[in-house]
Amino acid sequence: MKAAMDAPPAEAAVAALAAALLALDISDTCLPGVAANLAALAAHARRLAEERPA
Amino acid sequence: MSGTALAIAAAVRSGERSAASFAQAAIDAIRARDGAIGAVTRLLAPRALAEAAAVDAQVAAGRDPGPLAGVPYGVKDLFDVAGLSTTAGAAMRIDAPPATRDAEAISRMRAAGAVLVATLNMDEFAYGFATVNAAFGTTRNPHDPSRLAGGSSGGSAAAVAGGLLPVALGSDTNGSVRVPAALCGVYGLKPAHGSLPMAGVFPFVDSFDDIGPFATTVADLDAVWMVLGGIAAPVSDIRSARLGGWFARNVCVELAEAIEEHFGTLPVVTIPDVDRARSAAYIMTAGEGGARHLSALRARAMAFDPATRDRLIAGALMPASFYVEAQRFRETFRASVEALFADHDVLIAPCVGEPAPLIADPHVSVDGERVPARAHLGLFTQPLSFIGLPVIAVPLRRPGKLPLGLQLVGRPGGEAALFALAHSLEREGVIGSTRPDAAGMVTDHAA
Repeated sequence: MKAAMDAPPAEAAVAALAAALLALDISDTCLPGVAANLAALAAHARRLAEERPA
Repeated sequence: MSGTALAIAAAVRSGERSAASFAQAAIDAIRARDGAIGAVTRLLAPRALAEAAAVDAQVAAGRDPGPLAGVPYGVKDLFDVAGLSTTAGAAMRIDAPPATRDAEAISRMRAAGAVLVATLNMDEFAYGFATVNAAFGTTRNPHDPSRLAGGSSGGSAAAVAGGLLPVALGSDTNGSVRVPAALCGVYGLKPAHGSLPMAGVFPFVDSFDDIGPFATTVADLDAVWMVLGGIAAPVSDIRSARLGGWFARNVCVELAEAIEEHFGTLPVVTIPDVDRARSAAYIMTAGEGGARHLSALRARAMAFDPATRDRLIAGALMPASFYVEAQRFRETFRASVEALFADHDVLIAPCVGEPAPLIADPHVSVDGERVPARAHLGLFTQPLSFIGLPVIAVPLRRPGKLPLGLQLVGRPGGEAALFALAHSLEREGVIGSTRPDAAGMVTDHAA
């Protein structure tokens, strides 16, 4: 999960996302909105993974 | 449309007034006043009059038509209504094959004598807290038409708050009954998860979806809950506490002062990791919603509202590990919250931290930042529905002011304690629904 949350280089991330959309037959017009929402979900996931004192 | 649901039912059952007259009054009220609110998507006048006539025939034959005899009501656009497309607030579903039968909740309402009058506006696919719908319009707050009604069951809340209908049905996934109830100043019930029938309800997030009623009195809310499947239970010695910590922050001064005034003698309890609960709820919502809509996204992504579409796609593409971790956390969080119910029957929390946002500036304040209302009005509701707790959203009695509401939160199956406390608070005048009438004067709904 940590690997999924660590931010890869921005260009690579966008390219991977565009490829994922293409594989799903979804237009890359959606790319900016989807990228922003994925970033938000990653932030939520990081919060879940934080070490916190018991 | 004036009068509570129970008053209407009493008048119809006694023969004092016909169900047909109440149905016609609701139809006339919607035609006259919904233009300024935008709560109604389809007015079902022929069906309403036919159902009302059937109720009147029962009364004439000496039979009891049921506890909601002749009560006009509406349903959020995600309930199946026989013969109609279930749009779920989506333009792409306007021409969907019509439902072949009513949703189970509608069948139960009909069996109780209630009369279906309208379908009501919502956020597309229930994915929002605002009822700002690109296809069906924005539902306006009856207390101030320049403000949001909240969502995603905004049409249902606004129809009741605006005096168009005495009761309505909505659904709540992360706050979609509670948020519009608070912003519109009416009562709303989010029952314990899974306790009311979901057959024939267009789904969003199976882990969180529930149907729930709106009403202007506790007694009406209770009556509809019982018809839908609620189970009464004896209650005594209700132990209440206030939720602090997360639930004491981001609350406007007026609301904080009201909570202190009315509940200041109650103990304060805190729940750890509420921020994580909200994050986990976001993740599970995105994941389940995205998975549900993936085939439609692949076929017709551009037919979605862009705001909904991009969130759903992100949820479908999100790593599965995010969802698994959210599920694991859910069990830990559930245990920590349920431990509180060993010593308390009702936990009291704000519902929305401030009055309804302006439609022209749909933002709320969170930690000093202005953030989009559409995604953040559920600050206090999401962590509770995350673990399926029953909640009644109750309006503070504030005649002449924008509504502010609270959540009465119970243990699973603990709705009876919530209703008992709500009845008590209503009798004391701490909570109560009021609405502006046509002259701009405030009228108690129960008057």
